[in-house]
Amino acid sequence: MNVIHRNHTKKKLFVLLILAFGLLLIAIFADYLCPYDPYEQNLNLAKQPPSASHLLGTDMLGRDLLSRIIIGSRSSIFSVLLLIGIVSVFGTCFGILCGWQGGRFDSIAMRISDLFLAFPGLVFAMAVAGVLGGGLHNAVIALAAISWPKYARLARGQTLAQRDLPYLAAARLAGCNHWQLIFRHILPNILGPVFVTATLDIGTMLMELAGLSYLDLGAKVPMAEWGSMMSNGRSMLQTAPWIILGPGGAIFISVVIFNLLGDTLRDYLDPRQRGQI
Amino acid sequence: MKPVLEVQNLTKIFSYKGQPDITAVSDISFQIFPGEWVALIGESGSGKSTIAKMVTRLLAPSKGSIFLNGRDITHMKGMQLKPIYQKMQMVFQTPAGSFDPRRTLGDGIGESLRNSGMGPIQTQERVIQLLTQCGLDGSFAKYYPHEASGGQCQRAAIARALAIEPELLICDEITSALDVTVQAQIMELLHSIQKQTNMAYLFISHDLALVQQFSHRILVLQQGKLIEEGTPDEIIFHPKEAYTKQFIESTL
Repeated sequence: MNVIHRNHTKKKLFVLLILAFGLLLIAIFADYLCPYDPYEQNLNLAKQPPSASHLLGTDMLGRDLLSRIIIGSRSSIFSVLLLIGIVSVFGTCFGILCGWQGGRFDSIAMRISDLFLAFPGLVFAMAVAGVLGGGLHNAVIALAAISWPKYARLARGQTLAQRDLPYLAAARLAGCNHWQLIFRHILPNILGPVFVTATLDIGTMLMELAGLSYLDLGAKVPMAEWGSMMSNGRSMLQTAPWIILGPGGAIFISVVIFNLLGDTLRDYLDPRQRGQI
Repeated sequence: MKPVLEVQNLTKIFSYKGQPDITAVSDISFQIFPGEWVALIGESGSGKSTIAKMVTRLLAPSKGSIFLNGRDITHMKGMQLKPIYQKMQMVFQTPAGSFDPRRTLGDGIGESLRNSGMGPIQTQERVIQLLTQCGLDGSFAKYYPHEASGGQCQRAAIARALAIEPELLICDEITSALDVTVQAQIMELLHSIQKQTNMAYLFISHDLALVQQFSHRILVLQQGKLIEEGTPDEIIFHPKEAYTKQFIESTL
């Protein structure tokens, strides 16, 4: 039964990796994939419903929505990947250091991270974005400021769980120094949960970044970004719903792909399933 | 003859906020000489593993001194201990748990060799040689801990401990997770290694029947205190303490 389940997980992971890779390819080669110039305005074509020439219709300034969604994938997906990269690396290093060092350093460092956790996430991000001003970069900084403690907590907990295991005592007796113990032994053993959390967070961050852009605290006009595209089209939800449905659908599909990828990766990396192939 | 290990008045007190102190080990003194097999026995919670951890400096003693080959190692920390660990090694209670789950057995066995500057090819050759010495096929070097049985992992753990040819081997309940047949095989393996190398053993166990055949001296521990010491014959046939008598009756 386990073998069948494992094979099923492998196939699912393979399909989801292809889909996620496909999204990345679209973002990388966005310039070549756009059927129209995503920034070219033509008021004669404003609010055209989906048709053969404009597959997803046009927005209120006559710009082709499909082209804008394709070019928008670059800012949306890349900023999220950058964001996840920053918070997961920083948070994990911080957490490992706290868990490994323990004592007063750990207590003080964790209280600092608690400070960030105490604020309601999006409200804090809005405050940071409000102070630093709008723009995609500031939105990324704002979300990074509230997201790193989660990774720090996770890495700290995992490090504490590993710290007293016999294999680390054996590694000490083998003459490993602190850095060797951390990088050779602890990090590879805690990376699985961190990696899965990061993958699951891609979807969440995509939504939060889109949320900030929707609130005019993210990408600035005329930059094509899925959240800001939805924000700009919100007044036309009843008259031209495709303006909001197009980017909304793109967010939905990306979030589903990355969330499923995270879930499947968690199943795949589960140590209890190892050796069942 | 100089002792390999000398422990003087070793004490460990665990302090927790708001709770009374717990004295896990109290004023223990003993010596181990080259080629000697010393068994440390006692029931669960008597402080056996705490002594092992203090001797290997994985745990700091509260009081007392530890000398390895006459050198005081009581207050050594971090990388000061690296040369000490080339003279003293330990085999742990959990066979698979003492190997990194994400690294092969060969990688674990060769770690101390790599850390002492041996090249990758020589390390690989030495690992296979050690595995063979411990009764395992060289192909086990490529196995992950979860792919080997408890007995195989424990043999690999002994191979790891032997890698840098220590003078003292501390065995912390190494047979307690194994079945009787494998226990006997591991004891025979340790016995043959000692004959070849003249290594000293501090063998921690709660199984008196297991240690009486091989050990030269037995130390009996009760609630962190060393209550009796003697040869296996003295301890088993002429115990002085009531606790030792009870312990013998319950285990033999």
